[in-house]
Amino acid sequence: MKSNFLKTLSLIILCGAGASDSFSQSSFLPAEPDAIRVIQLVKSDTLSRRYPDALPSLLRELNEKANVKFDTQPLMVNSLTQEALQENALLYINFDDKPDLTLSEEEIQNLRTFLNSGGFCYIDAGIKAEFIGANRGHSFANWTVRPEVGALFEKIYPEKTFRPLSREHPIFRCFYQGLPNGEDLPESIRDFVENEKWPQGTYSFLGLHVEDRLSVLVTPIIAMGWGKDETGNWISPISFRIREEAEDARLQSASYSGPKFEASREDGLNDIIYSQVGQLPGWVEEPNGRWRIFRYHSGNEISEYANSFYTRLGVNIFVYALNY
Amino acid sequence: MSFSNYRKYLLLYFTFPALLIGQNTLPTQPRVTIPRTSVSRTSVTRTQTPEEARAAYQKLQETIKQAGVDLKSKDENLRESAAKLLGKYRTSQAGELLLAALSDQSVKVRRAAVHSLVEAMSLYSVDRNEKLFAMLGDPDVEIRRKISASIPTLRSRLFLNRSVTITRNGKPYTQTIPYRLPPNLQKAIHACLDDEDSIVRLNMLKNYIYLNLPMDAAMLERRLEDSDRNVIDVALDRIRILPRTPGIYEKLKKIAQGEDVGLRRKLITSTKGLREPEIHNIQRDRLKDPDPFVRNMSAVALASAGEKLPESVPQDVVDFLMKVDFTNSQIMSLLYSLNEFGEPTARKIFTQLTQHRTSRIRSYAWQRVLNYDNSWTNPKVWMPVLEDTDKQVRNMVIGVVGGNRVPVPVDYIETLIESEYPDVRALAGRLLVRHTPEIVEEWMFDLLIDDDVSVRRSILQTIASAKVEDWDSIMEKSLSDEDFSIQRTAAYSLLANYPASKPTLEKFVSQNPTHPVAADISGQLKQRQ
Repeated sequence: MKSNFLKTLSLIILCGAGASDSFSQSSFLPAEPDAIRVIQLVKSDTLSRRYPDALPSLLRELNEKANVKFDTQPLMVNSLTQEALQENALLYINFDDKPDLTLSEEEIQNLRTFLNSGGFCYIDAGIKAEFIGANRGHSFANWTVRPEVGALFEKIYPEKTFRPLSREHPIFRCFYQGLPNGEDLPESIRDFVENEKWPQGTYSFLGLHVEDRLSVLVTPIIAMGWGKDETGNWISPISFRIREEAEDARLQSASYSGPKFEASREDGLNDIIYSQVGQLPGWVEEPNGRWRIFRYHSGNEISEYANSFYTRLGVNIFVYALNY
Repeated sequence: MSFSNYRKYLLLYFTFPALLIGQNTLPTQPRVTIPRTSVSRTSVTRTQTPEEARAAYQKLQETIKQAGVDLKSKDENLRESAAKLLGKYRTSQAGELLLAALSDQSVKVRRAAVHSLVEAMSLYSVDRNEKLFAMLGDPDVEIRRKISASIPTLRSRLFLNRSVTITRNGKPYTQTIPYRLPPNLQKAIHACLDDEDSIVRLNMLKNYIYLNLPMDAAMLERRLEDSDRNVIDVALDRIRILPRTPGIYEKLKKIAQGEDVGLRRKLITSTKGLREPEIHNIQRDRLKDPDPFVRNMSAVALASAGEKLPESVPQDVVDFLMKVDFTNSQIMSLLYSLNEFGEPTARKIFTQLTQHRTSRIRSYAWQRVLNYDNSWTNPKVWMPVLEDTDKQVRNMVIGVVGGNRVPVPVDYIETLIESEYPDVRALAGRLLVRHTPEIVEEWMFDLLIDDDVSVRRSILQTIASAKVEDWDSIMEKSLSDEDFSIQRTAAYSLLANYPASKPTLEKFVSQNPTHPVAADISGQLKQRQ
C-alpha cells in the first residue's frame, strides 16, 4: 500500500527547520539509489514546461533542509500509465503547462486507483482567478479551483468536491512555520503581506479528500518561487500585488476602461475587480463595501521574500505528503 | 521487410485502401483540434458608440480633475489616495499632477507619487523624467529603493538622443547629440552606490550598466567586501568590465578563501578567461577547494591558459559531471569549457558523457563527439544516438544528418526503418531521397503504411522527388488520405509536375468541390494558367 510506503518514508524526515540557510555543497551530490521519485505530468509532445528548474530546485531544497531523500530529477511522463503510478506515490502537475488538460478514460481510472491506494496528487496553478488571464503566471488567492480542474475531478470522484483547507491545517506548519523574516520588506507593504496576503504563512489551498486523507491538493501557482541557481540566487523575479488604502468614494466614482471581474474570497463572498485596458487590474470592491487600490511592488527584497515563502510552502507540501 | 516491386504495394493500396491508410472514405474536413478555452471577459470587446466614448472621456477628465483637487488637500491621506489613483491613468495630465506631488512634504504622498509615475509611464519628456530620477536623492529609503530598482525602465525614457541642425560653411547639417546624465544625477547615482541601505546599493550596482557611466575601481573594491553577500554576488559580475587593481585582487582572494560556496562558484566562473597571474594564483589555490564545481572550473580555467595539470584532473571532471543530476547555467558553462583540455582529453571526456543520465548533457556530449573527424557523415558513429530514449537527443542528430548530401548506406536505412521512434523512421524516409529511384522503390513500402503521419509524409516527399515509376498514381491516391498534411503533400507534389498533372488535379477538384485541399489546388491551378 502506498500509504504505508509514505509512512515509512516519513521516518527519515528530521523535524524542525533548523538547517543552515547557507547554500549547501550537497546539491551536487547524486540521488541515493532508494530516493523517492516524483512523477511530473506534462501532456505535451515537446515536454516543454513552465519553470523547468522549479521542481528539481525544490527537491534539492527538501533533501538539504528536511533531510529526505528525493531524486531531484522528476520522472516526466506525458500520460498517466498504470506502471508509472504504481511505482511512485507523488504526482505533480503544473496546470499552467496545459490549461486544457484532458485525461483518457484509462488515465482517469489509473489516477483513481493511484489516489485510492494512497497516492498524493499536487496540482500547482490549479487555482487561477479569471482576471489574471491565460498567459500571465500570477499567483492570486482565489478560493475556487479552475473550472478545468473541477471538470477533470468530477469524472474521477463525481461525489466529491474540493474544499478549502483551513488556516490551521497542518500542511502550513508541518516543517516551516510562519513567514520568512520580513525586515527587508518596505514598511508600506509589510503589514498587508504578513496579515492579509499570507497570514501566518498560509495561502489559498483547496483539497479533495479520499477516506479523510488529503489526496489532491490544488493551489495557485507557487512553482515560480522555487527555482534557485547554484550560487544560491533565485531564478524568477517575483513582484507583489498589494491592496492599499485609498478613498472609497474616489475609487467608486473613478473612471475605468477595462472589464470587471469577480474573484472568490475565503469567506465565500466575491470581490469585484476593476481594470484598465492594457494594464494590470486597478482596484477592488470588497463585499464589506470597502474599496482598495492594487499597487504592484517589485524589487530584490520583495522577490527574495516571495521566493522564500513559496519555497517554504513547497517544502511543507511535500513533507506533508510524506507524513500524513 | 521490404518489397522489391512497389506494384505489390499499389495493388494492395487500391484493393484494400483501408488496410493501408486506415480509412477509405474521403474526409471532407481536415482534422483540426480546437483547444478548449473558457470564454474570458477580457476577450469580449465591443466598439464604443461615440456617445459612450464621449461619456468615458468626460468621466476620465472628472476623475483626474478631482484627484488634482485632492492633491492640494490638507488631508495627507487624501493626497496619498489621489497620488495612488493617478497612477492608473497614462495621461500627461496625470503625469503633471504626480510630478508636482514629488515635492510633497509627506513621505507617504511622495512614495505614492514615485510609485505611480514608475508604474504608469505618464511622463513624456526627458526633463520631467530627470526630475523623477532625481528622487534617488530623497531621504526616504523606500523611494531610493524604488527609483534604483526602476533604472532599466527609466533609462528608456531618459536616454533619447537629440537631433540638432548646425550650419557649417553655409550648409545645414543634422547632428545627433547623445544623452548624458546631468551632474546632479551623476552625483546622486554615486551616492547611492555607497548608500547606507544594502538594497539600494544592490539595485544601483546591478543597474549601473544601463547608465553609460564609467565605473570606479575603488567603488568596486568597496562592494566586493560589502556587508551584504548579495551585493558581493553582483559585484563579481562587474569585475570584467574594468582593469583589476591590486585592491580588487586582494578582495577576490579573500572571497576565494571564504566560507560562502556560492560566492566561490561565482568568483571562479567570473574570472574564467582572465589571463592574469594574480587570477591564476587564485584559481590554482582553488584546485583543492572542497566544492567539486569550484575545483573543476578552476582546472578548466587553468587548462585554457595552457597550464599543465595533474593527470588525474580530467577524470575528476568526468566523475563530477557524471554525478550531476541537473543542468543549469554554471554546469553548462563547465561543459562548454571542456574543450580547453585539448582534443584527446576533451574527446575522451565527451565520449564518457554520452552515457550521462541527463539528456541535455548527453545531447551536448554527442554533438561534440560527432564534430570530431566530421563524424556527421559517418553513420556508424551517429546511429547509436538515434536509439536514445529522449526525442531531443535524437533530434540533434536528425536535424543535421537529414540535410547531409552524402547518401547513407541502405543497410543503415533499413535499421532506421525498423526503429520504434516515428522521428527516426521519418528520417529514414528523407534519407532515401539521396538514392536512386530503384532503391527508393525497394524500401518505400513499410514507410508508406506507417501509422505515423510524419513518416508517411516524408516518404511521399521522397517518392515525388525521386520520381519513382508511377509516382503520380501514388500521389493521386494520397489525395484521399485521411490526414490533411498528407493530402497537401500529395497535392503540392503533383503541382510541382504541372502541366503533366493538370488533368489529375482538375479531376480531383471537380469530384471533391468542398474538400479543403480542392480549394487550395484550385487556387494554385488558377495561378498557373
